[in-house]
Amino acid sequence: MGSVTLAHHSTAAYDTKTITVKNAIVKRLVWANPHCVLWFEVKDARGKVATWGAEAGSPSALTRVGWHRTSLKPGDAISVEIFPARNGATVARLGRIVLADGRELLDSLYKDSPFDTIQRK
Amino acid sequence: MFVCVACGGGGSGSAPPEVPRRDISGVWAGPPLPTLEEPAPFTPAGQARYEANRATWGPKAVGLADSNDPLITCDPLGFPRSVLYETRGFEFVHTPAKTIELLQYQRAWREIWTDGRPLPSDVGGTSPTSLDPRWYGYSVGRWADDYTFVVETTGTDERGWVDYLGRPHSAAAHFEERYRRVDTDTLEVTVTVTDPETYTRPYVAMKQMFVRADNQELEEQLCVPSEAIEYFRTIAAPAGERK
Repeated sequence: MGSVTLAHHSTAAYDTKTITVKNAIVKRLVWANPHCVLWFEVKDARGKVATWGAEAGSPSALTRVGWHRTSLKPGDAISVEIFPARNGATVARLGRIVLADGRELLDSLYKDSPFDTIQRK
Repeated sequence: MFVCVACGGGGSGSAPPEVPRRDISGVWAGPPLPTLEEPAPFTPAGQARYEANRATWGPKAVGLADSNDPLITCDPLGFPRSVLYETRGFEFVHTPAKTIELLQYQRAWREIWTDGRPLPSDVGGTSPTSLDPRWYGYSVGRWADDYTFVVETTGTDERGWVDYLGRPHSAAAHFEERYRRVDTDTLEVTVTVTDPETYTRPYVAMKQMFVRADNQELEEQLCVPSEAIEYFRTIAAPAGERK
């Protein structure tokens, strides 16, 4: 389980516990201020497709923790850990992404993110 | 070769660099959300305005969709919130008559006059000569000693919040910032709020350490209205809907 600590905007609308979505497919990475948004799709057991939007840090914050605007491409297969909205909407705060090749991308707020350390350098 | 005449000691180790005198120039880095110091001693009027500000942080935090935080629509941080929130990066530039503070967030700046002029009085008053309140107010600065730069500010637009908890201030508020260069790489920042309309006594809003940034370059950290509107429509509003 991850935890949310610091953000430009608070994360009060989101659960403090994560869920992990496997076999998700990247639709789009919106590289924008104040928040980047990862859009992805996932099929449930009956084949029904759900579209999720997961907000993350700003481009400058994500850049500090190793992201690039081209880090994710439409069609990439990912496993993604998110803090889902409390109200059941398919929106979330991003936690952690694992790509098919094993690469890992953390949101700038995620518990293991080096953001808070890096920004001081 | 560097010679430190005041370092004492005498071992063979390298001497620590001398702390620059009357100089806080350069880029300083800190946390997005600095630690606030003490509970604010509200007057009844201050408490009422605080209750009306629906912050997304703190004990009465609401979701973004229910908040009236001016930042949601990319309004200016304003002062003193610029020193109490989004303090990931700021820079001072000294010139003969004023010190300029460059704020990383929204690429804004403040002018801190050091030419001896007084702070304006009667900002927002009814006299034809009274000045308008401004988001970043009016500031003057002086050196309290060789390592402490003191900034006084007044005339701040009361639409701006003091901090991320939604504490308010009046246009008549007076703020003091003390920038103490503890050593070459460390800056201690203390902010004191004096606003009798809103607080029963002066209180210390923040005492926070900042470090000199290695690369000495501010990032571009913007709230872009068109992107914020899209973010709000697609993420924050659905997350805040009551179902």
